[in-house]
Amino acid sequence: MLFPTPEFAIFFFAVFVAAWALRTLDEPRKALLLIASYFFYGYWDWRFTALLAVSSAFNYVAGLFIAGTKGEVTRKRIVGVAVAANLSLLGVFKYYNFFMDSLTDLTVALGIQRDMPFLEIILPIGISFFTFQGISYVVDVYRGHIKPVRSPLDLFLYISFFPQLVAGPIVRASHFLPQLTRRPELTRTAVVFGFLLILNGMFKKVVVAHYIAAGLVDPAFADPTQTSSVDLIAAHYAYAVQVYCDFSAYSDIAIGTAALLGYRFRKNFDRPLGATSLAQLWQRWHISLSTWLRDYLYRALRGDKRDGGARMYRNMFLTMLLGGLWHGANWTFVLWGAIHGLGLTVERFIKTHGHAWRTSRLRLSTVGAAAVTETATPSAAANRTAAIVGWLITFHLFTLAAVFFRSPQLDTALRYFAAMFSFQGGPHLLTPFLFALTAGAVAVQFLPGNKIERFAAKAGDWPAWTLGLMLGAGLLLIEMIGPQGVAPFIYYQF
Amino acid sequence: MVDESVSYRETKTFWRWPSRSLLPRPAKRAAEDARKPDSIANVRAAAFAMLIAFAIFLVFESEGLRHFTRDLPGNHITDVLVSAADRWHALMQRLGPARVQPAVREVFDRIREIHW
Repeated sequence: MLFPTPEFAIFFFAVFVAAWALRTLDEPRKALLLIASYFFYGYWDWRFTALLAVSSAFNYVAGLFIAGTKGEVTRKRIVGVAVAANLSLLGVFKYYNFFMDSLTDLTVALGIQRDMPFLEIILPIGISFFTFQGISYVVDVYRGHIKPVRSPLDLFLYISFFPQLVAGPIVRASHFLPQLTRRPELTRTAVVFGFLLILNGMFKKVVVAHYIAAGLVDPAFADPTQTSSVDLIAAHYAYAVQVYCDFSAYSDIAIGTAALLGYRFRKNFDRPLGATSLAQLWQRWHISLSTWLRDYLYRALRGDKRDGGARMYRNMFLTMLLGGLWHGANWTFVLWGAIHGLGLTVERFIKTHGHAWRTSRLRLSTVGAAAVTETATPSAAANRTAAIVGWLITFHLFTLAAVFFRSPQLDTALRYFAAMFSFQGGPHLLTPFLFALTAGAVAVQFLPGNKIERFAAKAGDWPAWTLGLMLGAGLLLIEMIGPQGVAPFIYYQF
Repeated sequence: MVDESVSYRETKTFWRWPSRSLLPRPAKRAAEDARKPDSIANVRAAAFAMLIAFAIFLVFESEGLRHFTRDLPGNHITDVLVSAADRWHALMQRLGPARVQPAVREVFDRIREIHW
């Protein structure tokens, strides 16, 4: 079931009314939300609900085992088995044929070609997201960050809660499970906030992402050699905007629908295309994934030691490389992760050594306090220049790397770059409308954050009919100017 | 020695720091949060607002309603829904609201097709 469809609107309204009708009955309300979540997931293919249930049951039992075991070594073994089992599930469905394919290429290169056992595997939607939630639960129980859940209903609902099930945000057990133990409350601000996020998400997905994809990105990537340089340059910027609008739209709608049901999810995107460094970009882009990678992958690579130097750079690079591989079984994703990993390590290296260099300069110039102040405090103009230069570098690294992310094969990406840098031809695909959509989406990244929250707080005392007119008129306008039918969200495939 | 009186902290400007309003609120606002909202009244208001939005859709997007009913699996109930949606769309066309969508669409398509 896709968010921007009449089916989802009817489903959500029914769940909303029923869940709040059962507000005072905790267990029946949670059971209702669980059934609704399985219905939502099974709407694509009911067989995958069994996979979701097995994954949830396994993590529930693993959590109880970890908490009930005293010996550290045994606890470590149990959590190791639990994480390995979760990753195996992901590995079989997502990466099996990729590894077989790569192994075939290797055997051909070595002249020992063998027939590999390829399987016809359908990738269950959202498998990465619920697997990551399962891993975060067992690891948090092991680390003592949360207590194991006694009620299987709570854990099953945590893993399958429909707003975030298919494409995130990756909700942490420590954040969501305590909300299940409290009776949900709904403030008027949360109602307005939920409606505004749904409207915002619908506009980004149905209008911005759709028209940019259909009019510019898809034709440019279909055959880069037949597309002019101007269109290819525009399309590589536009694709970054498309991915942002598509994915952040899903997160917005997920956070908005959860807010209407009385649950709070953390922000998943925070104006990432306005970031002035790569490190900042990854603090603002798919925040739930980047913090997940930091807490469960980077920390696992680092171990107990606070590392620095080469080891830290290696771990940072590997984290991004594996983060790239998480997006899909394709070398283009691996290369995309490697570019970001390399970019982050270089940026960190420059920052660390630049700071040491500035400090040593300060030491040399400690003649008088006035002189030190002059050297140490950068002017506002210097700060702004540094921010602009940082943004230009970060934005272009992100958009250029996105060409690998979008290309189905490495070869397509290389042909794309060759055609783009040939600097031939004028705009054919790029129209003023598509230019305005792309540039506008980038420009809004520089507006102050929390616009929606602030507006929701102001509009909290609006009467219900005004809210209804706002929601209805907004959705109607999006529907009127949007396409017939909506393509699935990009992150469904991950 | 480095002069400790000098502040090395970067200025907190909007392009440097992500906003974090959805994270748990700081403790100092706990007293404000402790006031319980009237959830039931807010649920009623939200449900009423959603019903108004549905009504707006039914009036102005009667064509979309026809498409939706035609995509439903065929049976006696959906047959009734399809014919009801057809009658409703004919009525909305006669009264005017169903003509708004094509007019808006035409203007939008004209803007979309402007070239350099």
